[in-house]
Amino acid sequence: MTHKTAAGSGATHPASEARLQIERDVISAMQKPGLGYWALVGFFAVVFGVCLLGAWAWQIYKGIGVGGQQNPVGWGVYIVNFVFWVGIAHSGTLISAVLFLFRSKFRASFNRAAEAMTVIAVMCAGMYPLIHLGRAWYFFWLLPYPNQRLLWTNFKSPLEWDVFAVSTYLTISVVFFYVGLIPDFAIVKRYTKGFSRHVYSALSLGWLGTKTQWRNYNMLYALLAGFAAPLVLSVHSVVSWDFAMGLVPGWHTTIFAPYFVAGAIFSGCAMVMTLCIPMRKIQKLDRVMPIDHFEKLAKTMLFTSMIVGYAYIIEFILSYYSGNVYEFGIFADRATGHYKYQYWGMVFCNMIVPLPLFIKKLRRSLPYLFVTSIFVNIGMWLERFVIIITSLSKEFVPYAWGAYKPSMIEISITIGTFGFFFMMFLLFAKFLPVVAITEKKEEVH
Amino acid sequence: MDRREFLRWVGVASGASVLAGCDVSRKSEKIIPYLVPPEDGLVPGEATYLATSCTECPANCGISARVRDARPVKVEGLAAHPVSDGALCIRGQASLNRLYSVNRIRQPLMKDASGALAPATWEQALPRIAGAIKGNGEHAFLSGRTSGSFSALVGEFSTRSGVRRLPEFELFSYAAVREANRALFDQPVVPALRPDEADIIVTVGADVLETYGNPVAFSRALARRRDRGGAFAWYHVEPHASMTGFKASHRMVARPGTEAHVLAFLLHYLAGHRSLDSRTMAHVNRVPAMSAERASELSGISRESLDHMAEALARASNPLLVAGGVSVAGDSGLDTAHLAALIQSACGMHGRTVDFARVTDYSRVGSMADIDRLSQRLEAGRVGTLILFQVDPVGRLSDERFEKALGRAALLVGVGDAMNPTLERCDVVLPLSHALESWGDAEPAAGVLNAVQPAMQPLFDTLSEGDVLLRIMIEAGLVPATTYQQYVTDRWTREYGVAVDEMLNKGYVDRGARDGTRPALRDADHRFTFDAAPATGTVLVVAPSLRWYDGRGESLELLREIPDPLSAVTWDAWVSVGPATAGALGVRDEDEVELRAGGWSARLPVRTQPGLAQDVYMVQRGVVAVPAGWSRASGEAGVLVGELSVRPTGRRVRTTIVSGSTAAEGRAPVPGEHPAHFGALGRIEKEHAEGHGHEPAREDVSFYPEPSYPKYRWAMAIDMDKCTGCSACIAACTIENNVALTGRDEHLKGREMQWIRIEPYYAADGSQADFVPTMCQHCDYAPCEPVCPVYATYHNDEGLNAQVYNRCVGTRYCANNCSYKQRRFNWFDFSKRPHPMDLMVNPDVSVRGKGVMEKCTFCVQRIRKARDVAKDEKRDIREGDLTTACAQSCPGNAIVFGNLLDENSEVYKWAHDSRSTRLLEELGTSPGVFYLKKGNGHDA
Repeated sequence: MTHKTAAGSGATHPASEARLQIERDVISAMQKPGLGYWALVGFFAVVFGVCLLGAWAWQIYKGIGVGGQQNPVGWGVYIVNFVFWVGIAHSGTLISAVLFLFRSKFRASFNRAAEAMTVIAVMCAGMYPLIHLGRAWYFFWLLPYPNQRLLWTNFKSPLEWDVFAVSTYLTISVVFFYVGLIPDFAIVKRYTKGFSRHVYSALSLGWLGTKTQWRNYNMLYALLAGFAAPLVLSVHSVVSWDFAMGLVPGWHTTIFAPYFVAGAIFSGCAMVMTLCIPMRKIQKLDRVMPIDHFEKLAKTMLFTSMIVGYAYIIEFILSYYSGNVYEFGIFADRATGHYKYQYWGMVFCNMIVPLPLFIKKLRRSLPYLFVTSIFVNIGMWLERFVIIITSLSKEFVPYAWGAYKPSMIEISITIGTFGFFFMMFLLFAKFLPVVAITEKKEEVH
Repeated sequence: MDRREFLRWVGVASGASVLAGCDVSRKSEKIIPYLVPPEDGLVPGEATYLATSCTECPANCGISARVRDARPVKVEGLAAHPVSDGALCIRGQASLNRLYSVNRIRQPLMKDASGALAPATWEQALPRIAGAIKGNGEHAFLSGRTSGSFSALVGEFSTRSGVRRLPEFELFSYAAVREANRALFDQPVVPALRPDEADIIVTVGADVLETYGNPVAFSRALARRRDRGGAFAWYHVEPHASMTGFKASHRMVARPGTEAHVLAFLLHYLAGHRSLDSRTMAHVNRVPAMSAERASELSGISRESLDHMAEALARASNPLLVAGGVSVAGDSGLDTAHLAALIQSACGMHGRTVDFARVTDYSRVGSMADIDRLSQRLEAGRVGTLILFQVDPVGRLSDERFEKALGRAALLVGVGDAMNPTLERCDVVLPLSHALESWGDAEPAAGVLNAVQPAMQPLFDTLSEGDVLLRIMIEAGLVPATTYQQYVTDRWTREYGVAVDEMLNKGYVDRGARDGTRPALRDADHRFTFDAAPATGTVLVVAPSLRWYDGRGESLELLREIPDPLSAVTWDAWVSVGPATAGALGVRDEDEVELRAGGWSARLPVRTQPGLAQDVYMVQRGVVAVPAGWSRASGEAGVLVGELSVRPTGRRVRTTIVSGSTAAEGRAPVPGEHPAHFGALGRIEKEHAEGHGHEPAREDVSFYPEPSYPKYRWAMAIDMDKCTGCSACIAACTIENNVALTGRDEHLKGREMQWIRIEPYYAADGSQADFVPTMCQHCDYAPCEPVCPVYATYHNDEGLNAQVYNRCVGTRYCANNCSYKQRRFNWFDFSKRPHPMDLMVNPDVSVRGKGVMEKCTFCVQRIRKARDVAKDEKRDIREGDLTTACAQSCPGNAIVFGNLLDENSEVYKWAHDSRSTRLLEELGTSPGVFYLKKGNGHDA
């Protein structure tokens, strides 16, 4: 099961032929992209540069007030986006680490794409707390570094926990992603020449595929997977505590951590589909990404959809049984108040739209899955919007109630992150093997 | 590079950077060496206090101007002043804004060839005026109410120059009240009110807490009355909705124009229940009969309420009744004023609760009849030069005829501090100094004279009002060269027998009141006309404004930023509509309606006003120009516009309403109330409420150490009975703490900045309102503190919830987590203000840059100062060493501040009062602000 076998001259054995086919399929997806592809990358780069960097520069120059946040809604779509992207980032760890530990075969089709998505999504997510700061240029004050003035950070603050949660997650994701890529870099190296060959060669860290290397590698990979798996629970739990630790009605609830984790997996699966279905088509990866595997992803999505649906319902019941007028007031307002369209949009996208996935035929229809995943992405964004904005807009003091509306700058920055995300993903799809070649080969017997 | 070369380069580099720092383009300023402390001059960093007078309205409260580095940075009520007793209202606080207003006229202006006003010099302007008044024709001088030395100077000017001194113009002229008192007692005065003596107060239309008379003095006296204890009730009758009405214990809404009917009923009731002398009875017999049924039917006030009020009034040993404001303005207004004066006389209020002796002098103030006569004379072309001195009849009146007539004068001379519609029409405009840049005096009440002394050099090329007039007289050769400073100081010694130094130190001279004898009732001759059926139908009430009085403060940014306490509207104009009327029209907040009456029309956004009667609409003076006419009988300016047609335009207009909701919404925003919890929690809450008293903080709940306060726990207590909602605290706080004025656009986005606010909450039926002043509650367990990742907000060992601006990175979690929503964020750099507003900064308080959070600090700078003083004297801070800006200004004495650990402190007593409660106590935040809930038994 080493690359030597795969690179063997004789394509006589059907299994080795199949393995070679996988290798060729994946490598061919990395062929020099056409002008159209570059145009697309350029387009997203411009979106990123203008909509995000440009708008952010303007915001830093003028002040955070160019956004729509106000009294009492101090957090707007920046924090919505933060939670959204952290959520997206989740399925990466889930598919790579957790499914690896459970030995789920279908992970091999998606794990690379999911990991790449994770790394990029964490970058997107990580931008938002900075964009959101009133004085972004002092972001480093959030890091506990020794200094003469003996200023320290407040470890009671959930925002401080966030700093560690997100940075840990980014580090682990990058390391995990990279370690997974090492054997594949060695394969890619053989198919390239010139400068690229040197780069891939360096990246492969002298991988030869010897038995010892494989043994050590597998041990490291399993360890990393074991290390990353708890992060699936912890990172989004910490993100949920950004809210649950607050005294804000609608935030201050114990169900937030599991609710957020389920939501994150839900949205992560949806984003994997949104990315992989077109990629499968464009890069002609039908053989390495079989429908069966999409079906399994769809099942996960359906399952988590029901968890979040359950959470939506139970939140209402909990707030009703609390007998607390502040608590129930928020929930009643979500369903009937200023943001009712967002609320019912969320319910429709996250609870109703995935339900037909009980039908096997639909689960196996890629166009249907693609459309569903788009709805889920939208629905999960709305969920974060509903949680964050509605709770803040109607708290304890009626005089201080207020409604928030995102400004053009905020919308622009939001669009800009998508530009960044797709730009990075397109670059990934051309420069790195989008499917874990060695793992995929393991599937062939 | 060796050591020597390194040093060489360091030398070159530092030399270069020093050179680069020498910016020659900047204006060079002298640095004052401070080897010998100046004897009576400026001590940098040290504040001095100047006792002077407020000139924002005829009440003329005494003020103390805090001067830092040769400019006033704050005005406060002058302690122990005989009229205002250390308090100051919202408009008085805003006088600092008038001083530093961007709208100030900076030099004399004269119309050029094209007819536009162009900058000129005093040397050009004065001869022009002097020449004109010496020329042929009849010249006239019109001013607002004058008093003291300036009034004397105007008299001299008039006699010497022959310029006719017209009756002074005040929109709030009290013409009906004065006319009634003239007819009945031969004393055309506006009596002063003494609510501190009263056991029953009945106010009819008079907004005694907002604009009527001296609201500061009234609030102070009311607070004294409450302190005294004992039963007392306050009935208020009004056709519209006012803050005063909602603060009364019984608010009764009369149909516009039926206040006379209510008073006639009261008078007849009194005649039946009290023994009145024959002369009074002769008056009573001339009043058309009015039964309770008929009064109730016509006014719309329930029979029970009327009987209740009449009984209380008849029983009272020391009642106070006053009619004024919107109720004496209409056609039956003079009747209303007459009836009120008769009741005052019949109940023996004179000399006790209604004072004819220590009154504000309105004797030279004219009425609308005088303006009408002026219009006629102008139209006839009989006025040559007209000097309009610190008066804006065009802006106040919206009277087309007068505006047109003004154009007929040969020369219009305007004198004022900021451009207004009257000055825009003038040929010559002379700029006035602010009172804080001027010498002068003012007479708030008979026997009291306030000094007006300059706290700074004039900012611009302006002169004080006395100097303007003197310079004109000198130019015309009427008097030898002198200054107004000379004039007033001479007069103080001559007329009042007070040494100048004493006057300047004390700020006022009080020669005592005349003997308060009861005015003698004259024979009856008034013909009452009110019984002709009152006008029904849709009516627009043009109400006085708490914030800009008759409209004069309308251009001040500070007042624009502060929400109207009833509607919570800041910058915009609006029309108040009762909930029932709004429902019938199918409009809600921010829907635009078109109001039309006669030839006048206006489009305004709707703001629903609970408590406003059906088919009654209300706008505020100043921001909406309504030609409301005037009463021929009394000369009082009109406030009612009848035959109003209202049509929704279908448009939505975004309006600066800063409140989310003015209903309790099932929550408990009013101190002493409990949220409408339901289910099991509801039962627990109810039991808890019935068992009352605070639940002691449980000691075992927190993982973290309890806060400890070794010496001080700064705390505040607010009496909800005494708080009137007057918003003076907001103005005081905003100026003291350099709180940013964010402007209309930011208010539309919900980004107001004030650190203290008045939250109005109305009962569901609109019958009652609570005005809750809230600020940072400085909680023991503040929700804002644990969520800040960088310790920019923390708890200090004196109980302050401190905010470190420099450390703040702007996550805004603290604001989200504040249950009281008291934190304010600097969305932009709000600290830059246009000149000269940039001078309106308190140097003791840092201005905040963009991206940081701020909020009430309990005036920490004042605590610092008090600590420094105490330390120098080797002692601790004592009760009375300091108070916060809001508490200092409060006319109702509703706020106390101090050390909760000091058992002799006022705040300790209040906090341990049986009425003491705290906001949202069930959250366990343990605030440092205590509220004495309403209803201490006085308002029975």
